[in-house]
Amino acid sequence: MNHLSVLLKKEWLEASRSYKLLWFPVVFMFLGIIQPLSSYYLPQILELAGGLPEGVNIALPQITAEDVLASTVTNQFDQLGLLVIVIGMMSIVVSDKDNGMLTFILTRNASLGEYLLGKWIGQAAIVAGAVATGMLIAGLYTSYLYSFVPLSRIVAGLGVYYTWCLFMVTLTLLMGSLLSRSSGVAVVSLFVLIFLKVATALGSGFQIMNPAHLTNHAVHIMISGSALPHFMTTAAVTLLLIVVFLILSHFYLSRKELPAS
Amino acid sequence: MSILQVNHLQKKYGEQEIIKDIGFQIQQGEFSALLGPNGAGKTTIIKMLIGITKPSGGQILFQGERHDRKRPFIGYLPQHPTFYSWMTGKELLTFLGRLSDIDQESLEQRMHELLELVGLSKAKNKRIGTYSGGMKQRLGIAQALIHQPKLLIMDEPVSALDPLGRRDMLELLKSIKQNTTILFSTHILHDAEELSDKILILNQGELLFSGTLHQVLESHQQPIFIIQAPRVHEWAPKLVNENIVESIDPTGCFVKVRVKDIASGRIWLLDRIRSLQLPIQKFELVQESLEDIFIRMVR
Repeated sequence: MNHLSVLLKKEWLEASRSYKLLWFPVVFMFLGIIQPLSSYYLPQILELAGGLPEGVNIALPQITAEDVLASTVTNQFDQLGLLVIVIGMMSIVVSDKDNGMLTFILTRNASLGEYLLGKWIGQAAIVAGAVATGMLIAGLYTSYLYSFVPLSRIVAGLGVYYTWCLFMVTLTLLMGSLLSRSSGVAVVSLFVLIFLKVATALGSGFQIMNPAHLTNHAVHIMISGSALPHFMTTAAVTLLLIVVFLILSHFYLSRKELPAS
Repeated sequence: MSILQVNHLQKKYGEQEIIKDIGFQIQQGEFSALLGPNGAGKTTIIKMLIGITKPSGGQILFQGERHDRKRPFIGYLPQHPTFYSWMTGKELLTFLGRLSDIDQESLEQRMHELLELVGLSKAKNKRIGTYSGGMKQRLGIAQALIHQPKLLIMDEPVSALDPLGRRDMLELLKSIKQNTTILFSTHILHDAEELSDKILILNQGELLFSGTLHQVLESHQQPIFIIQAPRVHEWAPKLVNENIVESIDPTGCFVKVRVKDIASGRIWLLDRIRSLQLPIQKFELVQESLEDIFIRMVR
């Protein structure tokens, strides 16, 4: 596994040179801050925006700390965050295929499996760092502005949510292996992910098998301390799909004719 | 001993035969050129040699044996090496060297030697993105040699360079020629003539000739007449004579005429010049250059 460490080192260097190590966590930090802040200051924001028309009275619901964290995940991370993950990862395999670096790496002693694993672990680590940073910042702000949320719940929810992020990363990696343009990778990945995400609103038994449903599990864990029923099934299906995607990437790339330059 | 032996190599994409039953050998220490026009199949052959494309038939033997993993044997330089522009030259060599299982200590040593050899010692800590085309190509040579391969394969190493970069590259290739076996593809005949011991002429997936430069000249070279006079295109068509003239090739300000028989051809041409009253500036009998032979072969 010596090659893997060389490849991972390269991923790290690339991520730091392209400032991905910086802007990924910064984006998620921003997403983590915005929900607690905007919920807390909503009355003032409404006031500043000109207030409500006369005679209109709205009763703002009593928001709890748990609600804020839950909407951070569903409204911020799962929308803008998802977009950022896909856009940030869309060219990871495509560019190597295009410029011939993949051929270079494979005409050395490294195997395709090591290459893909290197990419996957590298990107997964960047996303892990970013999502965790964003989540912890959200927790910090929520605890300060609202009330204290036990760290253990945040961490547990984060862990479950991260499995869904891992699914996003792996899907994008698979699309990168199958397709030859990064715009195509982004469009197809986003389509699939948003479709799954929208499908969570439909309810019904299918949700158990939907990786996007992990967000709801994560939210429930943060709110109540326990996941929704059938959590293990959803998690198992997601992990299984991740493994299948990795195998498919390998299967496809090993049969594809790579450009020589 | 032959380092590389290729027998009955074939490649088909669907119905289309890109490479048709090709066989050749490369001996230790040889500098061979794979010559052919664009689309002849040079890159396809190279891709099969380095093991990223599977042949449809035939075999490729390295030192007499089949190898699924040919990588330790071969150093490879593609046509347009791009590398990672965000890496420095030294980082790239380290990265690729480590992937070839060279340990850190010998890698440092080797890198130092190679950067010296290709003249990039000063630029080793600069980003590859700032390198010129020639520097990238030289870095490409360094990365191809880092694991001390038995055979260095290069796809059009000089075709895309400006005259200065080309000159540098040719000098560099001459200096590594002494202790490396090299196979390179090109469509520039002059480069092949200048560097190689052996040439392989390829056209439309078929090997037309393989042998030394001397052999190709000896077996294929024919004498041709060169006639120079103003307004070539006006009088060149008037030299057609099926019994005597084999081909007429007007290029620039002169015409190359190949005749069936030198003695009678000369008399006929001189007669013709007199009767057309051509104000000739030059009338010369020369031996064909490699380029003439090549063009004749691939047409």
